[in-house]
Amino acid sequence: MQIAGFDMAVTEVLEQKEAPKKINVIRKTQSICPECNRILPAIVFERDNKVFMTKTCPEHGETEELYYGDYEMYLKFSSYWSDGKGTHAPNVKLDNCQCPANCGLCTNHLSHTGLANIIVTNRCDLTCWYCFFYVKKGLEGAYVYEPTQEQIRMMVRTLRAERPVPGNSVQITGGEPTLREDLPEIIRIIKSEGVDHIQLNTNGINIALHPELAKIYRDAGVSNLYMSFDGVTPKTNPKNHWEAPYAIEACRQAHLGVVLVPTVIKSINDHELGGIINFARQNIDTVRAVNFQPVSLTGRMSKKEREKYRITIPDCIHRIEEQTNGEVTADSWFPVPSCSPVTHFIEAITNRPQYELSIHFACGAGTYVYLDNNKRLIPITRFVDIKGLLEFLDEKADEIYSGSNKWITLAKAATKIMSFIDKEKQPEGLNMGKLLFDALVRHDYSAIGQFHMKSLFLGMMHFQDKYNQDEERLQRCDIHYLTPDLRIIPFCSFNVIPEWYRDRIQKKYGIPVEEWEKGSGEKLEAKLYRGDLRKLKLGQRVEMSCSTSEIFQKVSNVQ
Amino acid sequence: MIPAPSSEAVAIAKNTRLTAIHVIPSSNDIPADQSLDVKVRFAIAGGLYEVYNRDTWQNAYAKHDTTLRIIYKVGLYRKTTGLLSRTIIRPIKFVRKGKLYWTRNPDLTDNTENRIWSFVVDEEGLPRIFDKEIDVKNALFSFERILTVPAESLRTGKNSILARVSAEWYRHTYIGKGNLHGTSKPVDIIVH
Repeated sequence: MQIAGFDMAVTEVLEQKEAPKKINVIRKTQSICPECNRILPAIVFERDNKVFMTKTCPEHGETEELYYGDYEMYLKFSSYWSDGKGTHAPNVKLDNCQCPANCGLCTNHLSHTGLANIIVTNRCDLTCWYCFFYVKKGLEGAYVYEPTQEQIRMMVRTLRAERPVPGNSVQITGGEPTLREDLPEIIRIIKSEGVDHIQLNTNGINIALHPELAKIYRDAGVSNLYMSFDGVTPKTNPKNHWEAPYAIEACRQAHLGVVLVPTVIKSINDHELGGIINFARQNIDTVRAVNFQPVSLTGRMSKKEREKYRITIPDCIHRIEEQTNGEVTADSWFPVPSCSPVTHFIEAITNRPQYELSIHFACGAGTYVYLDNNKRLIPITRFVDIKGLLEFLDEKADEIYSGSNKWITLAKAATKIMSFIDKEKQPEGLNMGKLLFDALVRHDYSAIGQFHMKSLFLGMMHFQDKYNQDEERLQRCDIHYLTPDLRIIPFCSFNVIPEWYRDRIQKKYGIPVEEWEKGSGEKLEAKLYRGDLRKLKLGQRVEMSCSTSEIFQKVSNVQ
Repeated sequence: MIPAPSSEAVAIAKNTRLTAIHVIPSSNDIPADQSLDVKVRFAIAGGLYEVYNRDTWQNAYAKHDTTLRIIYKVGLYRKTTGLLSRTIIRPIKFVRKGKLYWTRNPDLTDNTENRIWSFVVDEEGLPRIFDKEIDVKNALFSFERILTVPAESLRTGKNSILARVSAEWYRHTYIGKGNLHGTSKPVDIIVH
């Protein structure tokens, strides 16, 4: 049997299931075998209003995986598919690589770097069960990886040399980056190389313990914290439930914005997504965004285990609608590449390449929400016709490209933009027309920043794993890693195939744990966090100390 | 910025035409209180239809010219006297897009020479992916819609209904900007 001329082993599988009529092939792509990394043809198909991927390795058999939990949303989002301008990284001249081999970036890659990760250490003060990143003592081949300041400077220079759009946004990550005592100097180095946006990915514990760090990092050049926050109860967020309020309070005092980053795992914390948004709402003066990350399933897992933990972007979006009692509805969300018309419009006006979020539509989604006088969340789609506005901007860009006078077009657009805003439904005190005008006409970093400051951004980013890996997504990835060998490696190569990238690089540029301990004069485990803060005051029951503190009550306000 | 169109691209635009415009009512004889469904069907043919092919996709994509937007406008009119007519459905705008992307479909690409494919986003905003070039062209350039005429827009007796349509696109690396107009032959509807 063939499906649309596609005569792979999948046809056998479909026959075995005796329900081929219910399967609707959406598109074909390439993926990898989760066992041996062999590149395989793959089919993305719909069944029971969900989207799945199937692929068959001649050696290891078939893998079927949930790809997207809602077919209708998949269709809506895929209509915004928009390939980017491509990119040229300065140090890799390979042409037509066979993805996902030789990433670095080669000429196959379609998105410039939207966010560049720099791992400054793989040491961590926590040992979370699902984390694949931190160095574990006692494991064979465990290496401490800490690039030098000079290596970091060269990595940033590589990023800045990217064309046509030089990288302008860096995330300092780990491990736990705040374990490096020279972190302020590292931040200054990155800033001095011309990077505008620096975010610090942290669990916040060190900042909770030492609040003065927030100001030190801010003064050095950090734009915001990107802080793990997996739930609103100790059970769902054992990582930093007690410490996060102190970290947020420190950031509040230092005027440093915070992005909350929940890793969402089905059956573990997917019932608290509304609670997390509620927590952000209570701290909206400091919390700028919540960026949900549906879990990436690493290591070998049985299908049963994967089904237990697997959650996708639409699943999270629907849970948020339920758990916010309909305040943030599913139709409030748009895929990340839906921003492309804004970029096209600004490019048409400025006549030069602009920063563009051209990732695959299945990788990420987002929306902006605002607070009304009753502290209810109002999604931007409630008072702005986003779809109409995007369509309008794209058409205006086409008009300019076709020879229309750009200043006349811009003037007309500035007037017309107001017609996409329903001022009656706009939250009081908000002038969306002016915000849009500033962002579209001034189109500089500060205008975009102002747009963010007045709202709470809700985002989703679903990093891939070997089970759902899609070459079409990888090729469009714009979250990259900078490495000491001066490559720029897509996230979903770096972490999905660690044996080719992350582990190999960290081994090459790291040192064995024992050697690090000898050189530093301290034990790796000495920096592990022992829950000191939660035991601080009363020293009795773990929950008692923080929960009775004023800061904890003020910031968390959880029952 | 898309470069000024070559003389060849301008010629391709000039050689593009609309096919015959068909107006097909659901009935030619209706009671006065009943609305009428009217199917309007036509297509873009010639230059643009021909040039929107895989070789063009490769070249256009390389210059980041990735979206062809076709703006269709369709209105329905009732003939009155002579050349005059009365509007019964004001022109409705329908936008279709042909979007180019680098495919990983093993049936369609060798990932070196042939790697760019096109999908279509229809006027409802739904993506449509096809495996054959001709299906892509048909989805983009063949237009068929049913418009509903309210009962009060027709008068008792004989009504001659016609459609006026247009199709517009912007400048691309492979074609100059263009705008086509056409009018269907009138169709008689009896309202009693």
